[in-house]
Amino acid sequence: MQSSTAVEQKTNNSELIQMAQEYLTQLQNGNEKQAEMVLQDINQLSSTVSESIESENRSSESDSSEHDLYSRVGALTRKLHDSMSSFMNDTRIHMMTNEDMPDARQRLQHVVELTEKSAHTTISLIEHSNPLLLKMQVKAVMLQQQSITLNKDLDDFLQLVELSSKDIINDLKEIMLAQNYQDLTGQVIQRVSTLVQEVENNLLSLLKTSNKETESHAMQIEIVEKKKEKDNKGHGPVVPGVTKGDVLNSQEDVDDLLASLGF
Amino acid sequence: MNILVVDDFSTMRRIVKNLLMEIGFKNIDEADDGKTALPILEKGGIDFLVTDWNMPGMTGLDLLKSVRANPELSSIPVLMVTAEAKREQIMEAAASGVNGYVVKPFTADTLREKVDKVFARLENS
Repeated sequence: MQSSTAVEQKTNNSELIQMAQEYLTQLQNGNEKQAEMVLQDINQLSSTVSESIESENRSSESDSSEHDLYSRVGALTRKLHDSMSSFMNDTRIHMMTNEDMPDARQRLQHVVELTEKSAHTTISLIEHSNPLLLKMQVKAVMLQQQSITLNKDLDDFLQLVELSSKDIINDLKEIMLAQNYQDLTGQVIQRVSTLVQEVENNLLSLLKTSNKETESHAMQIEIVEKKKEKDNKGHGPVVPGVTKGDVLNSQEDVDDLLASLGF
Repeated sequence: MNILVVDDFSTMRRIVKNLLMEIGFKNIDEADDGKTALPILEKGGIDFLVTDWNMPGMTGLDLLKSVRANPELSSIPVLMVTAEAKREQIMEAAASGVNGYVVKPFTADTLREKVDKVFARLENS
């Protein structure tokens, strides 16, 4: 059977945990004054309990550890409060949140736009060159077929035109396909950009809890919508060292998997 | 035959469109995500849907599910052309009724082969 002191200590213990949770909730909700008041209550309860344990049960070993626990909870709560205060007052954090992060997102967006523009320019040039080459190829074939009056040099030249234009058309197709880098890198960049924005929003929310200067910025933040199911939304291209899970590495692997499913 | 190519990246839409034209398709429409694709499909006349997976607004998977759930559209063949390569995702696409799956980056031959396969399978069924 538990002694009345033990029951009392257990009650104090859960009360202390509840108060610590309340402290964190108040901080998260931006109620700094209430958080301060809860912190004072924690300190008061912590020292009251410590004193009562000390005076009533000085000889017991378990009580000494109980006393130690309360002191630690008190110290940790104070440390958390100090860390939060210094974090709020760190100008580097403010600059990073208000300037560097939006700047980084803009730069990333700029990369996506630049690569998109370049890829489109390349594809436009290919689309322009392709029919010209096709015309050359068709004409060369036609002239070779009507080779009655052609000398050997001219015939060789027409053959060269025909074969070269065929090769160049193929190369141009490969160049066009290579522009897929814009989609693949763009998807990765957009994901990093979204992540930066989420960190930025969370930091702003945190800073808002005690700093009025950031309030105008913080007011503009929209709450980031919860991510839908990751697989449903898509993970983007595979990034070595970043993408986790069972990823198929080639079209062959995809075909094999589909074949196993009856495709 | 009318084809709808859906991808949020305009460069990829253009690449796929060019390759499909080379294969011999002529009437190719474009949309940049599921949300803009669905009204085009619902208007009727689209015979083949080529879609990316990862797009804002409405993903390719949700588009596929919407197409399969709509009796007017459910028989349209769907080819997914995407960078999404997780086993679970491919299995989900298959379970949702995709007709073919091409992983980016792909070659012109791969695209042609998968398109041919989709239609060959439809002819045999």
